[in-house]
Amino acid sequence: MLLFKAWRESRARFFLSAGTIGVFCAGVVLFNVQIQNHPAEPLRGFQAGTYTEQIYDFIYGGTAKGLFALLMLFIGLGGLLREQRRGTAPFTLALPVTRSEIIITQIAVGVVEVIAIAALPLLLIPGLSPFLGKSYPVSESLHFALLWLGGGLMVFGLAFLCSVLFAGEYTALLVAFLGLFAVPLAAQLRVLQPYRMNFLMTMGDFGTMHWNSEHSLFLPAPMPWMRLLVFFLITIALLSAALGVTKRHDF
Amino acid sequence: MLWYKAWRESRVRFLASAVALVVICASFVFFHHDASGGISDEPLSYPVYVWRITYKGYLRELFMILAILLGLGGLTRERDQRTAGFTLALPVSRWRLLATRTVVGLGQVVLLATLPAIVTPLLSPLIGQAYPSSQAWAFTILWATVGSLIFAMALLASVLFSGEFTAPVVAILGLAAYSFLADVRPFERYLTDIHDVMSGVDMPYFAERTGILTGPLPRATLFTVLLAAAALIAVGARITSRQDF
Repeated sequence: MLLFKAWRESRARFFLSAGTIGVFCAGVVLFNVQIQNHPAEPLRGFQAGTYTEQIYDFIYGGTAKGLFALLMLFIGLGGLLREQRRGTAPFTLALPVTRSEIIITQIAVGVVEVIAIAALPLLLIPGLSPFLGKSYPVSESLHFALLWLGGGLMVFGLAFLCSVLFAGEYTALLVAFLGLFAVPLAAQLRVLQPYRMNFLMTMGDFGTMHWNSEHSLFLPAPMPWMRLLVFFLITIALLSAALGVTKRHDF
Repeated sequence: MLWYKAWRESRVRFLASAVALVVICASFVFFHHDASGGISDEPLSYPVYVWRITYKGYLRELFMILAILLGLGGLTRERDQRTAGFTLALPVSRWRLLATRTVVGLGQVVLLATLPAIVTPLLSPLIGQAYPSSQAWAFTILWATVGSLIFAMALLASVLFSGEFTAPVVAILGLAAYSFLADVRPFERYLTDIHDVMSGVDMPYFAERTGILTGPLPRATLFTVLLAAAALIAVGARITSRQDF
């Protein structure tokens, strides 16, 4: 029942987000053909030479990545403070379950939604490309799906923590947005540069993409497993903090 | 009283946004050596640096998101919170309710747009640099105008969609879709790229090499943008007047 409740409360945001990323991915493949037929005025992000580079410029390292990070903020907005504003918190807290169970269920549903949306490019791009006589390596899609999952879960955790800390309507969303923008800016400080805090750059493998020997495939660097582990640990810390705050909150 | 109500409902978002913009602008000034290395491998002149990091880059995108957040709220949200009945019982028309919220919100968007123009020229001399106030205020006009359109998009979304986060998601996706279409044939001939209007990229009134606005601002384009914003607000008002709360 808690799973169904969490799903009902988040499904509109999930479908909108998944639909957006899905349409983007499918559109990039379809527009690729049209842009190739009109080389005089290429769409920005499609000025690359090969198909894999175009997919990277528009999806994995470009607009879709930024949009994915933004949409994960909305997926992460949950908690019980919203219910307090609506006056339904007493009904929810009267259920014969602990607060931990309520929050963990919301987190679990949210994590599954993040995984599903991060997996969409993995399904769509290698799946649709053959219909246009193109191919995109599944291994490369899987590489970026894992990077997006790592970064997306951190954004999800940030938004969830903000939603249990800030009760004002849209305040949590605003603070989460500011946090999302602040991290890449802070990452440029010289003292912080060695730590490569800009997770958005990690999600897009900025600075590490390279060509294969035939210059036909634009390939990512080896998977940064340690960095992904750090991302997951940060996510767990953020979500644990959110759980701790909720357990102590007076509704 | 309606002004005070609209202010109370939006003040946290506005003040947090204002503080964030001031802190970020100040950071761009005081940490400009660090930040400059992050956006270009080649040394940048100070005006070019300010343009790239403020008027073209992250801060412009953040401003657009903040304009969306300021446009949210309204009677549709009050219906979900079960306070719409009290508000609608006030001896004022629905149009006045919306108009008041719109004016307060637009004023907040304009104020946010002025913050870089105040902070950057004011603080730059402290680090031995100078950024012309005239440039900053010209960008303020561009940002305030486009920001009004973005605010209007969010306001319309908040009238149409009642879900707590559905309206901001739809507004952001609408902005993203518009931005995409404005770069795609055949729509690019008919749609103004508001990102380029705000930043000056590929615009005849801006020189990217020097980071300076060189020509007169595009009054026709700005008027068209304001007209579009007014149209969106008018549609929102029309829908609100017919909604059943």
